[in-house]
Amino acid sequence: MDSRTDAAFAEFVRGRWSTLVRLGYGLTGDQRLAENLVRAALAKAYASWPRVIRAGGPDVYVRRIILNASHGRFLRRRARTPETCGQDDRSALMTALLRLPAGQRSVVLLRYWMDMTEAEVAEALGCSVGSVKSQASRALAKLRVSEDLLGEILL
Amino acid sequence: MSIVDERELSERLDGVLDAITPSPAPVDAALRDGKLIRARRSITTTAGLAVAAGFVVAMPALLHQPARPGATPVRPTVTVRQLCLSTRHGVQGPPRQPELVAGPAGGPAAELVAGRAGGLPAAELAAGRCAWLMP
Repeated sequence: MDSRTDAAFAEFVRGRWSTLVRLGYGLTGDQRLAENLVRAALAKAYASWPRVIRAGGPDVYVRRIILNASHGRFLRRRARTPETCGQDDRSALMTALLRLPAGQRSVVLLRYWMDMTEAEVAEALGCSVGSVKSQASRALAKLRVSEDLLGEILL
Repeated sequence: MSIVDERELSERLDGVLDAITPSPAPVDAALRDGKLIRARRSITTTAGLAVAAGFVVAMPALLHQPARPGATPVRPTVTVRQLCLSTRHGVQGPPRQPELVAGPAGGPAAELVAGRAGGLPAAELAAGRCAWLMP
C-alpha cells in the first residue's frame, strides 16, 4: 500500500486507540487483553484497508472485530474470571458488567457508554432492534440485582 | 447502590472506563502486523492458485494413462496364397500356389485363401473372393 494509505491508517489509530481500548476493557475487564484485542483488530483492518473504506469506514469494521472477538469462548471465560480484575476494577459496576453474558455486555457498552442508537447497536451487532431492546432490558435488570447484592457484600 | 435509570448507568460507565489510561497508540506495530497479514494472505492465495493450476495441468495425464505393455492383442498367423481353393465343404481344390504373404504373429494359426471365380462357393466370392479358414 502507498504512503497515503499508511498515513490515513496511522491517523485513524491515533484518533481511535483510547476509545477502542476502553471498549475492549469494558468487554473483557482486562486492559492488557483489551489492548491486544484492539491491536489485532487494527492490523486486520489495515490488511483490508481499501475494502474497509468501501464498506463504510474503519470504525464499524474494527468495532465489529472487537465485539466478535470478545464473544469468543476464550475471552468470555477470561472476562468472567474474577481473578483477572485488578484492584482498579473492583467497582461494583464493572464486576456486575463482567457477569453479564457477552451479548448483553456489548449492548450495554454500545448503547449506554458509546451513546449509539438502538438501530446503530443492532447494525453493529448484526441483530434486530427488538433484540437490542430486549437484551438491554435484561441487562439493566441484572445490573440492578447484581449491584444491590454487591453493594451489600462490599459494605 | 442500584442503577436508577439509563442516564445514571451511562454516567457511571463513563466514570469507570474513562479512568483507564491506555498505553500509547501502537501505530507502527499495527502497521507491521497488518503488512504481515497481507503478505500471508498473498502467499496463501498464490499457493492456492499454483495448486489449482497444477491440478488442471496434471488432470488429463492422470485420466488418460497409456495402455499397459501386457495388454497387446494376440495376433494370429496369417498366410495369403494365390489361386487356391479351400478345402471347406469337403471339396479339394487345385494344388496350392506359392504364398504371397505368410508369417506367424505369436497367436493361433489361421489361413487366408484367395481363389478365382468358379473355384469357391458363390457366397465366398461375393465377399471378395477370399475366405478365412481357421485350423
